[in-house]
Amino acid sequence: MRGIPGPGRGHQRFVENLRPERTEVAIASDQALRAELGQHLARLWRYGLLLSRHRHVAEELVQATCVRALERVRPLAPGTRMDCWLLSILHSIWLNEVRSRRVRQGQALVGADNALSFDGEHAAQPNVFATQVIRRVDSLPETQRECVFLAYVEGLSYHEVAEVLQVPLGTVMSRLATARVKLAEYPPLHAVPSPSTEERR
Amino acid sequence: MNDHGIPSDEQLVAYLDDQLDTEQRSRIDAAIAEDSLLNLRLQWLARSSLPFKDAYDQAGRQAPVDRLQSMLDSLPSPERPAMDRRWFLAAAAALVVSGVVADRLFIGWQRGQQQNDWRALMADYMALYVPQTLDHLPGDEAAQRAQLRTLDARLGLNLTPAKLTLPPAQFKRAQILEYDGVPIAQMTWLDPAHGPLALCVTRTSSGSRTFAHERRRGLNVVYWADMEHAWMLIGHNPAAELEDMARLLRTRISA
Repeated sequence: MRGIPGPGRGHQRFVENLRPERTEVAIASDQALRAELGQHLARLWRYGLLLSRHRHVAEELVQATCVRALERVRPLAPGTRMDCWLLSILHSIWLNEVRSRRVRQGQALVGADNALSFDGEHAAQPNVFATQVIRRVDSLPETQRECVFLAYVEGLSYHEVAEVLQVPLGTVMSRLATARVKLAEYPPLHAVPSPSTEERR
Repeated sequence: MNDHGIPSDEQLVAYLDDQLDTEQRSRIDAAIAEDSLLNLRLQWLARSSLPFKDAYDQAGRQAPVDRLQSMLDSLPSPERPAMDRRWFLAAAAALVVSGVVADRLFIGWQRGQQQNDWRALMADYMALYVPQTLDHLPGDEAAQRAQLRTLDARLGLNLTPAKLTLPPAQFKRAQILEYDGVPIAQMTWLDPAHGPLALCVTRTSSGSRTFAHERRRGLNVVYWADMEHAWMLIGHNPAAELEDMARLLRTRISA
């Protein structure tokens, strides 16, 4: 026979790889998890959009996050915040799968197709302040943008942000400081008469 | 603080964000009181405190919540009763004993990536099935539909329970398996006379081919391919009966 690997390895790979995608989870906890997931869909989508700047990618990220979450076998460690856990799953899927795939496929990551805006098809009446805030955050590089979002929108502590992003605390602090310096350079919100003039860049 | 005891921007921002402990906080309070430039710097940084949460709360109202919710509802439940797990562990244990078999699977699969040996892998898997593997599974059509949608998504198919009826065998389950990143769909039936029966499919680009027969691990196999997929129907049913079923399935699935 041709160069057979050790007896254990093939078996190990077999068990690891040829398995149903989903493993057993108590039905009751599955339903509870679904109910919980349902509460976080809009927040996850919002984070997916912040990262990808594309609505369809945001939806794809939410779906992949739900699939991954439902696959979890063991309950979360006590004290783990469900929302942090879900945000960290979404972030890791974005970083390790979706973004790298899009880069490989040469799909542009800049020039959002239809990132957050309040115009056109979307019924909600534009709040000028909100539009300006989002444009300013959107102009930050991804690593700063996500820190600003997790800390100031999701209200996570620095430690929680570091955990979601899997980076050291000091990195979170320096990204936030850099982002803050950039954001401070804009004129105050009320000084901008209309989002259509100064800030369309 | 840096070498000169002057708080850095990081520390000032953490101060603004109320992320410092009492001692660090009072040190910065003291530094600001002494140093008016530092106070100005803090005020400058504070200009960046925008109504972030409010802005994104408004944006979040644009989320396609209904669509996301129906996506969530359509995700199949990971229902794998304990019985199944015990069976799987027993099967895994059996493979430890016959490590050679497993290695052969591994090597076979490596070679089979380009060839048709994915069938050998599936035959080895199906050889472990007994009627009890399947008979406790509920015949819930909604769940099966959801399972089939997962297959559709991974393999570019368009399957429905109606296309998969094979009386008297009862359709039991559709699931995605994966080996080294290659998805393989497996649809199983329980035939009252011959036991477990499975239709397996993977992607291929080797061109279409008509029905062919083979025997693997004591099971009959009928296999064929269309332009995008390679198919195999495997079970203990007699070869001719299996081919009739395969013909029926192929017609319905390609319709």
